Amino acid sequence: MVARLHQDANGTLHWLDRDGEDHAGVSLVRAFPLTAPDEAICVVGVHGNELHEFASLAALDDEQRRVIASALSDREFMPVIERINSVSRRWIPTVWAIDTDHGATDLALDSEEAIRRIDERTLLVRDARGICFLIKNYPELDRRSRRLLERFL
Amino acid sequence: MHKDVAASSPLPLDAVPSRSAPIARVELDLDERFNFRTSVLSLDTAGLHWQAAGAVAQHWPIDPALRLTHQSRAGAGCLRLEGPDGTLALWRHTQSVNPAVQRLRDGFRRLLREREGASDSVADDATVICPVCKNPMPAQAEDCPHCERAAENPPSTWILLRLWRFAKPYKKQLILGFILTLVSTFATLVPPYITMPLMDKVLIPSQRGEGIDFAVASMYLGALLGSALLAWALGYWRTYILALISERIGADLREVTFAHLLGLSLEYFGGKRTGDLIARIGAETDRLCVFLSLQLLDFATDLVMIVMTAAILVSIDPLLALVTLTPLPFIVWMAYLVRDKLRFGFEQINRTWAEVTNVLADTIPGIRVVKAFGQEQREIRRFTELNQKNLRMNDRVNRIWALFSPTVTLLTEFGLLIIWAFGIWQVGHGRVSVGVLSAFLAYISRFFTRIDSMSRFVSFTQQAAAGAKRIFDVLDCVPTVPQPNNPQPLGPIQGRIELRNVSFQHGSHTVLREIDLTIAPGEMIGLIGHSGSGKSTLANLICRFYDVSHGSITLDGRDIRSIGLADYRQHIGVVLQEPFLFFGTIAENIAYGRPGASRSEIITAARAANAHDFILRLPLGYDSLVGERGQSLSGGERQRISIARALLTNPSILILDEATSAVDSTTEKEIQKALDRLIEGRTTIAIAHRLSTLRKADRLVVLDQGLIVETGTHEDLMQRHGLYHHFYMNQIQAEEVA
Repeated sequence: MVARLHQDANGTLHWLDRDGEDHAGVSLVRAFPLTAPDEAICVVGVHGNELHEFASLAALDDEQRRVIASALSDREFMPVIERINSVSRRWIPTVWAIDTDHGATDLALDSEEAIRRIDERTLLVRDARGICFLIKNYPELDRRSRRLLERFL
Repeated sequence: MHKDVAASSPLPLDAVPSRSAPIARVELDLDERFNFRTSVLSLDTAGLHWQAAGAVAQHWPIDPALRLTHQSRAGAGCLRLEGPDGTLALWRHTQSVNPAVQRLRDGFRRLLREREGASDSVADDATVICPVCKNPMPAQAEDCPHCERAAENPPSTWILLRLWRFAKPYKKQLILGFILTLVSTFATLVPPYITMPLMDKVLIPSQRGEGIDFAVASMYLGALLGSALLAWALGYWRTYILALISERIGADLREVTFAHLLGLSLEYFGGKRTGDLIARIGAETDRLCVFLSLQLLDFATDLVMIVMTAAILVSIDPLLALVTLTPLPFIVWMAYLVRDKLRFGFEQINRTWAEVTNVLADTIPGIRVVKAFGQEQREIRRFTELNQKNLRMNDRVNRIWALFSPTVTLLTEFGLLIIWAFGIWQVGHGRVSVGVLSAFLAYISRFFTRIDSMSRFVSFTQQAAAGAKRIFDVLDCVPTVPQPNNPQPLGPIQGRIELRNVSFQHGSHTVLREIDLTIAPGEMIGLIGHSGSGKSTLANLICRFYDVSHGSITLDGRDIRSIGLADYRQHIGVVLQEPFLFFGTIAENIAYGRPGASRSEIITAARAANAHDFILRLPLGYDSLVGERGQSLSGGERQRISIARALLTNPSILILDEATSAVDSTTEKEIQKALDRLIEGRTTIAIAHRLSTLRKADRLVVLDQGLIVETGTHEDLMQRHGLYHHFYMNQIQAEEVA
């Protein structure tokens, strides 16, 4: 029996394990959502217990990958900042007007710890509402956005 | 330093039988009724000898029926010689001679054992430990060389010369900088010189109605402009180069101090306060850096300037120069006078500053305790008090300081007055020209502003010297757990640990005595005892956080002192009662002992430590940040992360120091499952208050007052009805009550 992940008509995620047991209502969790989003994606049961780990997506067939992608997109919200249009002030607290991959919005920064460096290229910005914004490829942002951003780093 | 084995004996020891060289000798300083009276107790192969002033010498031969016991309490120790019929003699002494007394007692016991025929090859007294600084001393030395060196270092300005060690790599740039200083200073001295011919050859002739020679005038003006530009360019280059060097020296100093600090043994950190160390590495190095980059540089320029100005003045007119320089000796004398007062002032300021930092370093990590007990106002008061103290110290220094600067200015004004008066008189008699006088005035105003800024340097030097002293205090500290020279690398190990006749002293207090214990590869040992019985010390000795005072610890037959520290500790995993998480992600914390571990290894370790599930529940999984004290995680969660950390390094030897005592019993079960997996196949030394934690132990070792009193399995020890039985029954009762 091959273990599989599938979504039923109601959108509930099921994990059919090797022994043929069906676990309904499971969720997918990335173990390293920032540093390695596509590695170690875990299937977690309703009680928070881990049922399975997909060590890498590459080893899976297209159909599984599609289920995983759609399940993850249902629960993940981490907009990627593409452009900083303006900042209300050059020091914290401040409000940035930004463009993201989910559209334009305002981001209120209220503490210095809100900006976290993940690695050389990636930054994580947590706004006052608690939403995490991601800045990927920070050195490749446009000049103006980079300039505005650098005042806060 | 120890005076306990003083070589000179004030007491005659003639009434004693024939004697060999003494094995141990103690100058006792108390009598039986705790009065301060000296007497001498010594031990040689013939036995014990005691001689008090004005009393008949006494002698006891070595006899297997005798017992010599030692106790110390409330600053005084008591050595008791017991025979079959009771106490034969009793000697009291103060703590200061404790180590010598213990040596005597150990020597006596060894003689007894030898007398009984048991050859004793393990005991070795070759390494003597200094009771003050805990460094091993040369066998024959009276005084500890480490302590001696520390005592030889009074604070002085000369300590700044020791910074040369850090300046040396930048020798070439420094020489270039100095040459630039010379040249650029010289360039700034050209303009006043030109005022002389400008006055005498251009202005004065024109006043006499001879008209102005514009060609000559523009030549001189051009020279003025040229020298100003040259001085500007050279000054810029010089300042830049020297500032660059001094920043690097400062950075090196910080790095070296930090690296040295981390190389010091745990013992050092036990005795120091966090804030103090932070102040030393942060503020103090920065102050030195400013001193080197700005103040020392200015001083050098000033000095060059003064010497050059003096030379130029003398070359123009020696007599006028002599008069001009009259206030100089007074200023030098004043600077000398003020120097000492300032230095002590600045050292005190630095110390107060460190205390202020200490309050921060105490209060911020302990904020929960502060708030829980409602002691915010008290901490604020403590901070305010120290801050006020800091203010007072500064005020005191400033009082001296404030007087100093205006006095220099006053003397400067006097100097100017003298030149004006003397110059006018000289010009009146036609001895000097107006040009010379104006050149002198131009020089002298520069000269005295320089003197003024130079006098400021007095205070900067004292500040820097005080800072340098506090840094070199750290750098001069020798690790008490020394690295062996050229250690043989440790290959794969089995994990057999043997402790042979191990004793450990802390100051004059003996924490562990004559511990003999062999731990087989893969065996789990449970250490049990009251708090203060020496369990944690034993674990610390095995980790080599400290070195044994006597005896030896071997790993697979090799003395651990001969193994490189990092190499050795790589094989040891430690789980402590209070798990410490560094600021960083969970993944980084788990991989702390093995930064190169792959993500799947991290996950595997976390799973084995029962930490995986709760980590997945965090919004950012393994990428979640945990704070300095891991505030968002519970005690049990933090403990499981630290277990995963220990698992990942795959150590052969595992030390669990009260790993579960900080959590409730449900969490304990979770952790216990993780621990059981961790223990498998590793030599384990576990310390626990809860005896249930030790149910998997192959052997239990019960410690009491630094001695091993019982060893065996749970069943063995229960049958013996000893200390373990007592512990066990107590705990069962306590659990029933709960």
